[in-house]
Amino acid sequence: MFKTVVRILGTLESLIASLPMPWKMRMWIGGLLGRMVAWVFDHVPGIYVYLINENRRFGMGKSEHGEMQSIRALNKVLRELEQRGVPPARVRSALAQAEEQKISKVQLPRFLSDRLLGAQETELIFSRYAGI
Amino acid sequence: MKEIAIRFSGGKDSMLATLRVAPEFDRVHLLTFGHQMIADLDKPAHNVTKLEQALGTPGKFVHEVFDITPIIRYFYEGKGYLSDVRKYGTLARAGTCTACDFAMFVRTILYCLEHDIHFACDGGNRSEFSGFLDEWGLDSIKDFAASHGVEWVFPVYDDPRCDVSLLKEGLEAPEPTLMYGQQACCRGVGTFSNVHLRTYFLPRHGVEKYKELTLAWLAERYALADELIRRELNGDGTKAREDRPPDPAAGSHSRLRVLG
Repeated sequence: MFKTVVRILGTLESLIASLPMPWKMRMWIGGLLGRMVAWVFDHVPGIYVYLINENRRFGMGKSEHGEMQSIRALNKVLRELEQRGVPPARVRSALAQAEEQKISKVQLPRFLSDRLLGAQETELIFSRYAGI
Repeated sequence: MKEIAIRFSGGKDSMLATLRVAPEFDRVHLLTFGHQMIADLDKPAHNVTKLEQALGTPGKFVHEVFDITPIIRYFYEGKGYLSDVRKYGTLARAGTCTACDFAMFVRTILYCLEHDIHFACDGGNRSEFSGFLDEWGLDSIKDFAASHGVEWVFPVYDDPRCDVSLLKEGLEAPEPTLMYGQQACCRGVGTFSNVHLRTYFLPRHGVEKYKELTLAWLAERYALADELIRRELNGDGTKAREDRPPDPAAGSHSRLRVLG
């Protein structure tokens, strides 16, 4: 069902995008579409599963489940660490622990956040984003 | 003096590429490209400062910001709507990312020629979904750059997680630094390409057709790019000349205006 809805909406978008139109109108539609897609990424966790499955099918793009969310999460965690002035030496130490414990790259953001920001902060950060 | 120009968005891929190649060069030109839908053009500057600090080389980096909307439109519109749609179908107008990416690539080569720079690179990575920076497109890009005397390299192409590598290599730099992507990013038109490819073109036509049409599109655009570069270097061009000077708020401001 989810896949069918995405396919129908995508086909409609493709046909609209293919029409001749003034550049400004194309930018306006692009902006609107961009906001809609950003909302979907924040609120519909199923979109990540769909994207990775499609990427695998076509042999293009990221192919590991959890990878996209993990990239967003790591960026968010590092931003928090920097804002709180956590010294690079502590981050390096936590990173070394992650390697010793063979933490996967997908799980790395949560591991670093747990170690350096604490469990409560980690839940706060991760609960704000669908799929992370 | 050995110099290199880098397509630099300030994101994880271009940051890692810069961190890796910078030690080999005396001067590094970081080129950030904007258009009407790119927001946060001020963000990459924070990462330029970080790179300088991490490598302990103040003054090594030259950071330039260009609005390349006119060049994107030049390549996007090509020889006209009907001509493009007949040859490339829906890819002709839904493929906004390809035109944008190509415009950045050509503007970098033009910059190299204007500044007598013989090396260039970017953060092209195999994990990106659309465009031409895939194995079948890399040689084509390198060949075109080489035809203008520029050696183009892809230092992070095979890195599966540039963000993790950037974190590690930043912490191992001469001055350990917490590095992550702070990017000028597209807020809109990029979704045309992505949605179109995933939900319509690839399920209907397959990857081989995408490859074939994109390479044909590139071949036609290389001729247009040669013409653009020749005109610019002869001083009678108008496209790249419309680059605006750096304006930190340009991206957000433009976006609001377009949407408003």
